[in-house]
Amino acid sequence: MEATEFGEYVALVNRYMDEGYTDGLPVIPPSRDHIAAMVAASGRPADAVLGVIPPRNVPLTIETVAINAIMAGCLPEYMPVVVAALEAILQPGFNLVSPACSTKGVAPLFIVNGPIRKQIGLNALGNVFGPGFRANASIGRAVRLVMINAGGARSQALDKSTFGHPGKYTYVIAEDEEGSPWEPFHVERGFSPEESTVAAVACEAPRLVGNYNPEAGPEGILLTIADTLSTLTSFGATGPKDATVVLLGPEHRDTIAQAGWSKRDVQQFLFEHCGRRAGELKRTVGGVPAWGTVDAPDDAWVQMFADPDRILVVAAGGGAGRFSVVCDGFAAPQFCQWQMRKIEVPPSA
Amino acid sequence: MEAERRGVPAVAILTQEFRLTGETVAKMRGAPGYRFAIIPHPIGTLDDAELAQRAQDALPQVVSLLVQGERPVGVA
Repeated sequence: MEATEFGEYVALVNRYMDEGYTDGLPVIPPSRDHIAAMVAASGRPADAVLGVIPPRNVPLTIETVAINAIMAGCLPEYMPVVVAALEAILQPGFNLVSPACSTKGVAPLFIVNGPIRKQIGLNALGNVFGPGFRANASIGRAVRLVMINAGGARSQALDKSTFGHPGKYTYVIAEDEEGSPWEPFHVERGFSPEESTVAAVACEAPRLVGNYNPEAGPEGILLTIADTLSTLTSFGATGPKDATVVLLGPEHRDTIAQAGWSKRDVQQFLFEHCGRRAGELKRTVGGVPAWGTVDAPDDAWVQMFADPDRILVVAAGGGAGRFSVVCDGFAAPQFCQWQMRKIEVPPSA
Repeated sequence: MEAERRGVPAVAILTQEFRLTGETVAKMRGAPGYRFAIIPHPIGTLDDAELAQRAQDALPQVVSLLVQGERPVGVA
């Protein structure tokens, strides 16, 4: 590239920035050939409509997705994941307008399972939330650029999040299926191991949970996680949450599995131990009726979750360090329900 | 905006925190420059008396917007 061409290229990038078509970082300007290749990688026609995207409520086409995926830095082979992720958040139950525009400030966390993880290099291990991994970084960014440019969810205008969070740049992880002592998340939820899937869960920012003592055993680790999940802020005004994600790190998983615990045991233990006394909730959140604290005596135990299946347990994280992570969910199911979609990879891809 | 499109005079009242949101929605719906009655933020924490006062304070803007008659949205 000649100096003048390079200067024009930079000017073009700056124009995208000035027009507000980005997340605040530079983008790759899409060329016609590049768009055609990206559309082809989706296995669908350019004018195929994925759904109607809020808050602008306009039809979202494959071509628009392709353009934003290029801008985000995606490779063509990422397209099936980007498309499935968008289809997941466009399901009516996800109610995208709510997580996209709410003052609460959550972002769809995407969890990818199945063979496509390895095929496109999605990271499930160290620094799973980044930085350093193109597929994780650009797939989530593509979804966010679609939400901004097609959906119209611009910060401070229609996206009214009070604080936002770093996951609004990208929030994509793979499950460490190979390193997990349990069946993969998607198999647990009814898919076959050969299928690739993406789950979409509207979540707050990740919260780290350290428990450094192997002798604490499964109960010590899981009590620390339950305590992190049961903070007073988690008892929002809308009632028990639709879902919350728990990412168990390798060292925690080893301790738990070596004691003979199944994933179901983990969910059941967290279900039983996530909660607060009614008195604390009444003092801090005003005894919201939906949460069942109005008539409860102060020492009554108020559970956080409606059932153990609401706790999505996923294996991820680097090999060293006695840490897990919780990504607390958004709100009660009437505001947003988490989704799961099969990733359709076109035969030619 | 939708009420006015249907011929019903209406005024949208926003707290100042939602002015940009309202302006964006107006632009999206083909009514750039649509005027709103703007009141202080927040209102979610007010009691009934405070809320009534906020409504009183908004009244001159509401009357002005109704009487001056914004042209109905989408009508040339």
